[in-house]
Amino acid sequence: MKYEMRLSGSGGQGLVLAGRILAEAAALYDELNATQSQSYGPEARGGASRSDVIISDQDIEFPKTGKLDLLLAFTKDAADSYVEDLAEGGMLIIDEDVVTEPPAGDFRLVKVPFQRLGREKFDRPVVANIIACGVIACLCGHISTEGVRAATLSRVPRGTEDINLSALELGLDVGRDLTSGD
Amino acid sequence: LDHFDRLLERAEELGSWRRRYLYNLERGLPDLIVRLEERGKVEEVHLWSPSSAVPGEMETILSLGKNREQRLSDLGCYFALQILQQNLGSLALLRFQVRTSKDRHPAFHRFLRGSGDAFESLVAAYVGRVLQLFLGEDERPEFVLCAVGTKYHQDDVDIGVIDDGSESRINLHRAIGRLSGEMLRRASEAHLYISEHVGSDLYCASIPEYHELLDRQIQDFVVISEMLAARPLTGSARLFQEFRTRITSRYLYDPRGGNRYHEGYLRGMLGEIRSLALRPVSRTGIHLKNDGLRLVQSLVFALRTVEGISEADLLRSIDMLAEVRPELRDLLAELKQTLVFLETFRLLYQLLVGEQEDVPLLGAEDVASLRPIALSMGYPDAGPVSAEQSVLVHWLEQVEHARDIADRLMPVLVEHLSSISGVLRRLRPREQETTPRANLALELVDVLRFQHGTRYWDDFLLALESDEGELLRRFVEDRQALPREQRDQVLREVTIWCHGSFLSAARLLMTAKKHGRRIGAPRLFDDLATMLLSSLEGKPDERRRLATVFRQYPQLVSPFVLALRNEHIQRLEEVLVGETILDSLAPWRDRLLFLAGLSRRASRYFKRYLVRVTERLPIVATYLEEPEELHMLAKGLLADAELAEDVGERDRLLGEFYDIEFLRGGLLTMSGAPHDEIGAAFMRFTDQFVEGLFDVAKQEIEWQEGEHRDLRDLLAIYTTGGHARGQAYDDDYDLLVLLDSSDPEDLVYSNWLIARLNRKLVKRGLIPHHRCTDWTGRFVATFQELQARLGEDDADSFIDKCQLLGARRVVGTRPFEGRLDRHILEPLIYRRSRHFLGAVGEEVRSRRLDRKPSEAGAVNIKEDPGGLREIEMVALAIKSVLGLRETSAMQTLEYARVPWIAARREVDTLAEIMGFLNHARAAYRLTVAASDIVELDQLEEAGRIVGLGKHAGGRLAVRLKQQMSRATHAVDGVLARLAAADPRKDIVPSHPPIGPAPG
Repeated sequence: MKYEMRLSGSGGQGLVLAGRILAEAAALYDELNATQSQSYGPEARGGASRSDVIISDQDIEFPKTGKLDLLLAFTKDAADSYVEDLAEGGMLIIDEDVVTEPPAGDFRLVKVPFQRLGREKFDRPVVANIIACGVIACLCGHISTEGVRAATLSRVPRGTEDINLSALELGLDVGRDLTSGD
Repeated sequence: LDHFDRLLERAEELGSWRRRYLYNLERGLPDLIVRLEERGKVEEVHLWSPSSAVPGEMETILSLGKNREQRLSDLGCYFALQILQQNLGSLALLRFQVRTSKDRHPAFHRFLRGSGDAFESLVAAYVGRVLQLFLGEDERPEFVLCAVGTKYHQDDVDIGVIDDGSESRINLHRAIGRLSGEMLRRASEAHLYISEHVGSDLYCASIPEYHELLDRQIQDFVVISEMLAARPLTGSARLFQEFRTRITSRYLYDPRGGNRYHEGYLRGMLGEIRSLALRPVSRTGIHLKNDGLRLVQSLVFALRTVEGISEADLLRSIDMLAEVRPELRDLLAELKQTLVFLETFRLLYQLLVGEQEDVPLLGAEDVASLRPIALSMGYPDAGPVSAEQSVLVHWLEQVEHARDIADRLMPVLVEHLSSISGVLRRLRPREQETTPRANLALELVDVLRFQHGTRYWDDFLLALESDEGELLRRFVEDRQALPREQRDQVLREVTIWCHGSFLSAARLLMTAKKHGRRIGAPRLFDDLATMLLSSLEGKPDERRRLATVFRQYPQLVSPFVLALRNEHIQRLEEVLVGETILDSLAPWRDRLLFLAGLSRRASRYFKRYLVRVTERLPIVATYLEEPEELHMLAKGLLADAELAEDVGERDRLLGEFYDIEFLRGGLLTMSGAPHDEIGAAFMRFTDQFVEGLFDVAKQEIEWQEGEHRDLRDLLAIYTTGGHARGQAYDDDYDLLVLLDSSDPEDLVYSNWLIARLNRKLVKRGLIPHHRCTDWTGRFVATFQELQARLGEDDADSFIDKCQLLGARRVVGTRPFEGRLDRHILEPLIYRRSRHFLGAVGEEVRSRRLDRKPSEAGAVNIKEDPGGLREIEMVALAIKSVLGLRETSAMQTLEYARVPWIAARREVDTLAEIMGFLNHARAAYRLTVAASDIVELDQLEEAGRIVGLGKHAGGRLAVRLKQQMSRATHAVDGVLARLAAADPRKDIVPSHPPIGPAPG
């Protein structure tokens, strides 16, 4: 098994943190192999943000992603820029309030209003990244609920554990609903 | 395990990162302790305190496990114990030191150095051993693993790998892959960015592979900065030395010459420094790295290459710099202090709160999360100001300070760049250096390719801007001399370069604009603009960069945008609309978008003011949506003018005041503000302007010519026509200058004064018209001359009466006005109102008969039947009959409807139509042309301004015709009623503006 995903959007949306949580959940708590890499150099200066995570039950030869199994896009630009990297039959998860005209293609399109959920349920749109961790953990099928909970706790800022765990649970619920609809 | 419970308790204060280490300890520590006890080695390792002999103790740990998995687990547990206890110890020491010394900074410095060195030693020992476990007995190349990031941050470890490129490298590659997975699981995550950029898809890259990537192009200066910061963690010291000698040393300045790579890196870093210094701090949080720290780091990176310093540690580098550049010692000390503060804050945030760089500050609880950092840094609560608030304020001050230091250190770097620049030498050769000289366009291609990605080109741009564009001419000519394919190639490279730096692109384009005609390339600006704008893809990053450059350099971006053709502006607008990246830049993007839209919609007439104001006060380009801010600036300019001692300065400031107020009025009109308010504002500021200019003219004559005559009560300036009526956007300025004196010297002096005033008005684009020059041959008319003139009953005299009746005093006194009223207005116009009314009626009739109809597709909004001229004449007739002393035609109609109930309906109709026509006229002048002939197919923008919504242009055209037709009937109706009215019976004389009883 090898599962490749990209979390993309802009700086300040916590996508690098989300990538680290997912990679740590897989590597530390679920005893898989994982790598996480992120936008770097001039790319990172541009304000766009990208976090690539590879999960595998084998050794991972190189941290560069090939065709993606899952792409999370928090901005329209990210969706448009990276959709071509998505494997046939892969999954494009978008923030439906931001990416109002999602690209079309041979992939599963999942729409979740991440930032709206963050704002409405927690009065903090910044927890959208953690909601996304919950959704992705459910939908990718390789990360355990316990693993992603523990990784979230070990990565979010001190004092925000409760709100972030609640956001994660919300994401897991959304993910379960989406999975049960399959 | 009591020790472990105690560790758990102590670690409670640490940030969330502690959990993954504690998780590993809970799983592996009991087995490790059993193994140590079984081997009798418990006393040989520090489990419950930080160790100063980590490598040796790791060897002991390694000797315990029976298999690789046990050894990895044991090493991971030891790493976890050490990192937790090292940090707990460092924190305790820091808190002690900040509380026991007067100056906190030495404590911060010791804390950083202590924890950084300890962490890096721990990582080096761990990485070497884990890698060895994965390599086992496999054949391996010669290699070295280097730390390339900062050692002051512990959530990840940036690693670069150099090998000899031999076949066995695949074994090393696999081992590093496993090492990376193991570090993610049990230590700090490894990032191998350099590996992702250099060589093939392997974690390791050989020196020839570095050469292959870096010889032809400067590439990514971030990779180079990391390489320059490399220090070996494990592996071959020889290979590391070779890497430094062959690869990284060429980025250091060499006084013997050959500084091509150093120059490229420096250009990259200067661009990076400028870009970081321009980055606004977010409104909703702070960024621990990008707001200030990266800027300071970049300054040190750049400076140490200038001085050839290969030391990787930044703090030590600053000390070394201070030794070799004693003149910069104070500045470097500030730099170091800022670096230490920002690094300390960042490390403490990571140790005590969280690991992300983006720190949201949305509410009080977010600020409160900084409390452990503040207390650790020794900040006390001070009355109502909490320690965390203080440390946050101090952090922001340090960020500002970092930018200030960058401003002061940039010239040092730029001066060095100029002294070594091979780029400049190649692109600006002296004639005698190259015979025959090289083709500059091809030279440019070569330079740009090598320097790809670098963004500092100020020196080259300055050379292009100087010498009347001579260098630019040579580039253009040399490009023209090339075959088509090469010409296109040049254009492609320039496009890539422009796209890489909008700041440089804007400067290049404005140079082309300035010198294009002179160098025989009048289309150069346009061609370059087409090229630049078609290279934009409308990405958020482009929006961010454009907004950033606009925010910091409105003086450059604003003229660039205002010089673009409308098709280009539309493209720019398309690019600007969409997601933005930094919330704090969104308003700047919006302001730039507004400027672009305004430039596209504005008529030449209005744009002239926009260009003039933004040239003089570039900041205005960023306030266009904030009329109150503009008003504030205008008031400041007027105050400055009033206080200015130098008349020239006063003259200039008054002009700027006028321009900015004109611009503000235009912007208000375009945003749909009520036209009568704008008309009133125009009257106010134009009067202030003319009054001020009159004073300046007087002073000039007095100071320069030594002439002075006190004509305070004898001379008055009246504005007539549109400016008198509060009709905005008139470009001619009708004046009636009256002198109540028959002294010939007064006459000469006042004429001299007005001639000077005229010159000043013309400079502002206001064309003065002096009606009295036709019959006096001067700018000034005396009372006697005016009396004689108005005593006539011919057509010319009628026009003068109209002018006088609609005149408004701008300069002069109330007693003067009283005399004018008593001796001229009252006897010659008001008492003869019936006669005047008849003349108005005759004028209307004859104009309708004589006037050629406007061409199809156009109306003359002023002169056509039912146009503004007729309505104004009716207003004058009403004024004379009712004895009103009011200059505004609109106000006259408003006053008339109260006492004159019988005519109210028609008067209301005229007032409504006049308001509409004036509004439409203003909108047309601002968006199409300063003409009264309105082209009916050009009304889309004007229609929108007057609030006609969809299909605004067509609707406005129809409405203009309808309203002017309605106006002709209302004009006829009011004139007939006036002719038939007996003012003593029909009109209630109750209104204050009514003067002496009508005759």
